[in-house]
Amino acid sequence: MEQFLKDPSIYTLARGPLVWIAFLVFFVGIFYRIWEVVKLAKKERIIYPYLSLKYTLRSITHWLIPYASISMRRHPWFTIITFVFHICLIFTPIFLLAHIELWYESWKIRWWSLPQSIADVMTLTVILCAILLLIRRVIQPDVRFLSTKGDYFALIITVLPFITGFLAHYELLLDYKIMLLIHFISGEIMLILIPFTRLSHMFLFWLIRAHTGSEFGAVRRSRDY
Amino acid sequence: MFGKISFNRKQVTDIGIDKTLETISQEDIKKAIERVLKKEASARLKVFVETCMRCGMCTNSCHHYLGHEGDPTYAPAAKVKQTIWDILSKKGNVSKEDIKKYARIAFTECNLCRRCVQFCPFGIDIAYLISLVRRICCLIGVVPQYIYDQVLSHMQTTNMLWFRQDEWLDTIQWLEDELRTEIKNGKIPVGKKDAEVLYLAHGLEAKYMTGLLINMAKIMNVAKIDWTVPDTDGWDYTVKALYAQDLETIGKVIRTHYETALRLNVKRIVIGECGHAFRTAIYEGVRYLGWKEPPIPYIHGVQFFYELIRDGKIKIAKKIKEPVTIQDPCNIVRYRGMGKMLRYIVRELCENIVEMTPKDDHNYCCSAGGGMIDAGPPWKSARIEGGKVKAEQIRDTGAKIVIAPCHTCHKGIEDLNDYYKLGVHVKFLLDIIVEVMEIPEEMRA
Amino acid sequence: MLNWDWETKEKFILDINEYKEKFSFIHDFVVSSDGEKLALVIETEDKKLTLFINGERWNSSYERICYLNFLPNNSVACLVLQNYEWTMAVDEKLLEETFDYAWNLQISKDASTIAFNIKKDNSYGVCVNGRVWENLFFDARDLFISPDGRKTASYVRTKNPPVLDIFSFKEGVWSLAVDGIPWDKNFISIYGCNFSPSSEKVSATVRLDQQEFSVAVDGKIWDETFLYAWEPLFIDENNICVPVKTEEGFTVVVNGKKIWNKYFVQLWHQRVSPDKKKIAAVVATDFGKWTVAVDGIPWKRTFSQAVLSPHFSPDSKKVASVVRENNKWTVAVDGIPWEQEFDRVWPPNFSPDGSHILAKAEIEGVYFIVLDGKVGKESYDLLWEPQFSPDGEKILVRCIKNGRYYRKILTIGEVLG
Repeated sequence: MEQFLKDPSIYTLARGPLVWIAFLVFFVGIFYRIWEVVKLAKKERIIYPYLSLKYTLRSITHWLIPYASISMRRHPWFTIITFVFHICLIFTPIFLLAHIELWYESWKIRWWSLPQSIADVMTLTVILCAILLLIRRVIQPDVRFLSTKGDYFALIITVLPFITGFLAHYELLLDYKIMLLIHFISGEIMLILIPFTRLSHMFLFWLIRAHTGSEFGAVRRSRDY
Repeated sequence: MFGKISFNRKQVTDIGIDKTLETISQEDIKKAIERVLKKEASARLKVFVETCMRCGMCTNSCHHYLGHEGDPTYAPAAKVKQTIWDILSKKGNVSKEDIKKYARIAFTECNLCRRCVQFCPFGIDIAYLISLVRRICCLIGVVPQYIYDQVLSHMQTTNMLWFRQDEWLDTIQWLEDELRTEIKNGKIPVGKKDAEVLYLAHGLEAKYMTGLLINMAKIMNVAKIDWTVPDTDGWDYTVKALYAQDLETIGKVIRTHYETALRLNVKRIVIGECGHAFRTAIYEGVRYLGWKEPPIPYIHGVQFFYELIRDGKIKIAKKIKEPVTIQDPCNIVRYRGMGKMLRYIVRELCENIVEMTPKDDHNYCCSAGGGMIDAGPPWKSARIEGGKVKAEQIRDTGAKIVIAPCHTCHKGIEDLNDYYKLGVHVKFLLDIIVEVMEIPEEMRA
Repeated sequence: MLNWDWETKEKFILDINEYKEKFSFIHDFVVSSDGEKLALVIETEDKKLTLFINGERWNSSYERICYLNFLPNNSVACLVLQNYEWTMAVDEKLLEETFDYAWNLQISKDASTIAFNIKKDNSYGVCVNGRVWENLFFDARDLFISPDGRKTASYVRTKNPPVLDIFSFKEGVWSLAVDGIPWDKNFISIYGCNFSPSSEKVSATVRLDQQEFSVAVDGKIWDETFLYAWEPLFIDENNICVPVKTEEGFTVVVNGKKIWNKYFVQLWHQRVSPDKKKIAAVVATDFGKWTVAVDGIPWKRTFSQAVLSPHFSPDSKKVASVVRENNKWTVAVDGIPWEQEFDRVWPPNFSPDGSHILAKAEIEGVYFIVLDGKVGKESYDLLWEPQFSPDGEKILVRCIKNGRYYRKILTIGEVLG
C-alpha cells in the first residue's frame, strides 16, 4: 500500500488529470443538476409563474446575514458555528497560497492569497466546527434521529481535505508526499460528490429559496425568515 | 443520551384508517405511491428531499414537538423522515402497517401550518411533502373517518354535511324571519343576479351556528351591501377535501364556487371567518384548476370587515373594555399576510389588546387546523397535546377574550380553553362587531 | 318572439318609485322576456307578500314568493308559501297538492312542462306539471327537463346510511332518476346531466371511486375511465363529447375516444356549433393562460383571469366569449378582444345573421348596451339583457331609469347614436 502511494505516477495522476476531472465533474455535474431541476420545475407548472426577483433576493439576504431570520435567532450557537464553518470552508481553499501556486504552475494565473497563519486558523476552524457539528449530530436527539450514515459521511468528506491538507503542510502523522496525495484525492472526491450528494445544497439552496421566497413574499404576503 | 428513538404512540382506532386498510391490496398501495410520487410530484419533491441537511433547525418551530416534551419523532423533518423518506427508501414497497403510521403522522400530527418552512434555512416546504403523504393515503381511501365523511359529502353536494338543497333554502328563509325581528325590512337575498357580493357560508353556519349567519346578514344590511347568497349548491365555502388531499373534489367544489359567482354575475365572493376555505380558494383549488389567481376577487371576512370599518360603512358605538388577545390563523396570516388588517379591526373594536408572542406571521398554529379538528373525536387528544404551547401563549397574555377569525382556530381554542382551563371566551370578529356596531334607529325593527 | 311588438319605440310601463312610497318593502322584481310585463313582489301591511303585475295586484297573498318566472305567454309561475305549505301558483291558480318544501322551478323551452323539486313527508322528488314522481327518494338535487319537455331528471339518493358510515357512502348512494325511475347503479358522485336532442337519451359524468371517473348513458357506463371528467354534452343522438383528464392533460373525447390531438391544463364548457360540425371549449393552454379552442385549436390570444363559455354565431362561423384580464371584463370574438373594457359584461348575443354582437355591460355602476364592442349612448340604472329582433334589425331594451321601467325598441343605428 505504502509502495503504491509512493509511486510517483500516482502522485502525478492525482496532481494532474484527476484534478481536472474532479473540476469537470464538479462543474458539469452542477450544471446538469440545475438543468434537471429547472426542467422538472417547468413540468410542475406552478413554480415559474410565481417567481419574483424581489422576494427571492429578500429571502436570500435574510438567510445569508447571520441572525436575520427568526430561526437563526432561536439557534444562536448553531448559527454562528455554521456560518463560520461555511465561510472558512469556502474561502480557505480558494485563497490558500499553496493552491494558488498550483494554479500558477498549470495556468499561469494567480490571485490574492491568505497569510499562512490566517489560513491555518481558518483550516483549524473548519475542523473544529466539523467536530462540533458532529457532536451535535450525535448528541442532540432530534438531529440524531434524522441522521443517516450519509450525513456523517458527507461531513467527513467535507472536512477530510482540511485535515489532510493541514497535516501535509506541517508534515505530521504521515510522510509529506503520502499525506499530500491523500489530500489531493480527498479534495477531488469532495468536488466530485458535491453535485450528486446532499452537498448539492450548495447550489440547490438558491433555487429553493427563490421558490419559497417568492411564494411567501409575492403570493402569501408574509415572511419566510 | 444515546438511546434509540422510536415512534411510540398511544393506540387510537379510526375505522377510516384501520378498517379501510383491511380492504386494500398491496398492489393498490404501490400504485397510489407511484402515481403521487412519480407522476404528480416532481421538482419540489426531488429537491426538497435531496437538500434537507438534517440540521434540526425546524424542530422547535413545531407546536407538536413542543407539546410532546421534545419527542424527536414529532419534529417536522422527522415526520418527513418517517413518511416520505421511508417510502422512497423502501422504493414504494411499504406495508399496511407503514401506511397506518404515515396516515397517523400526516393527518394527526401535522396541521400543514408551514411554520417550519419559515425555520428551514433552505425553505423546504415540509407541509407540501406531508400533503403528498395525505394524497397517497387518500387515493387508497385511507383517511380519518370524520374527514372522509365530509369529503364524500362534498363530492356530490359540495357542502360538508350532506345538507339537502331545501335545507339550505329553508334555513335562509327562517333566518331572514329572525333577522327581521331586529332589522326593519332585513333581507337575505337568495340567488339574486347582478349583486355586488356573493356571500358564501360555512356549512356549520347553516345548521349549528346559524347565529353567525344572522350576524353576517345584520352587517350586510346595516352596511347596505348589495349582496346575495346562492340558491343552488355551492353555498358552503368549506372544502374538507383539502385535508384529505382529494384534489378532484377540491377542483369540483372550488369550480362550483367560482361558477356560481360568475353565473350570478357578482363582482366578488365574500366568505366569513375561515382559514382553510380561503386558502383552498386562492391557492390549492385555483392552482389545481389551472388559474394563477382567482378569476374574480375572493374576499376573506377579515378583509371585508377591514373595508367596512375603514370606509365607515359600519360605525362602532362602543369598544370592548376587557383585555383581548388575537389568534392569527395560519391560513390567512402566514398564508396571506392579513395580520395588519386583523389588528386594525381589533384596535377599532377593543380598547385593551394584549398580544401573544410570537405573533402575526410567526404565530403558532392552534393545533386544530389542516384537518386535525375534522379528524374528529379519535384524534382530539392529539390536537390538545399539540396545542399546549398555544394554551400557554394565551394564558401568558392574561386576556379574557381570544379573537379567532377562523372557524377551526375558534373551535380548537375553545377545546384548549376547556382542557387547559384558560378561562377565556373565544370569539369571532363577527360576534364582536355585531356587539359593538351602531344600528341606526330607522333600521331597527 | 315573432309576434312581439317590434314597432313601438318606447313604452313606459311602470314607476317603481310609487310603489316604494306606497308599500313598506319591495322584495323583488322580474321582467317578462318580451319586456311588456313587470312583476313586483311587494310586502303588504300584514307582512304578507303579493304580486303586482304591471300595477295590477293579485288577490291572494302569501308568506313567501320564490322562483318567479314569466311563461312565454306572459303568465306568471312561481312557488309560494301559503299557510306554511309550499305549492306552485300560475296566475294565482294554485296546485291542489302542497309540499313541505318546493324549489328549483324550471320551465321547458316551449313551456309545455313546468317542474320543480319537492320535499314531502321527508321524501324527495320532482313535481311535473302538477304531478309528483311516483318514486320518491332520500334526497333529490337539481332538476333537468328534456328538450321536448317530456322528461325530467334529478340526482337522487337511493340509500340512506347514517352520517359517518363512510363504507356505505363509498359504495355510492347517488343515482340519476329520470321521471322518477333511478338508474340501477349508484355512484359516489354524479353530475353534468345532459339530455340528447331528441330527449331519448340522458348522460352524466360519474365518479366510480376515489381515482376513476367515467360517463354513463342511460345508466350504462362507458368502458373508458379517466383521471377526471367534466360534464358531458350530446353532439347529436349518438355522439357525446366530454372534457376528460388523462395523464397528458385535458382533452375532449367523443364516446370515450380522443378526437383532439391536443392536451390542455384545463378544458371545460364545451359547446357544439349550431351546424353540429364544430366544438368550442374554454381551455387553459398553460398554467394561468385561458382562451377558447375551436376543434382543438386554441386562439392565439390568451387571458390571465377568466374565459367564460363560448357562444357560436347562428351560422356557426364565429365564436364569442366573455374574458377577463387586469380585473376588467370584455368580450373576445374569434380571439380578438374588444378594446372597450367593462366592470362587468354579460353573455354576448349574436344577431341572427351573425354580423353583430350585443351585450349588456356595466361601467362605474351604470349599465350600457354594447354593440360590436362600442358602448351605447344611453346609460341605465338597471338593464336586462338586450335582444335582437328575429330579422336582426332591431333591439329590445328593457331598462329602468330613475325608478321608471321602460320597454324600448331601438334600431342598430340608434344604439350607438
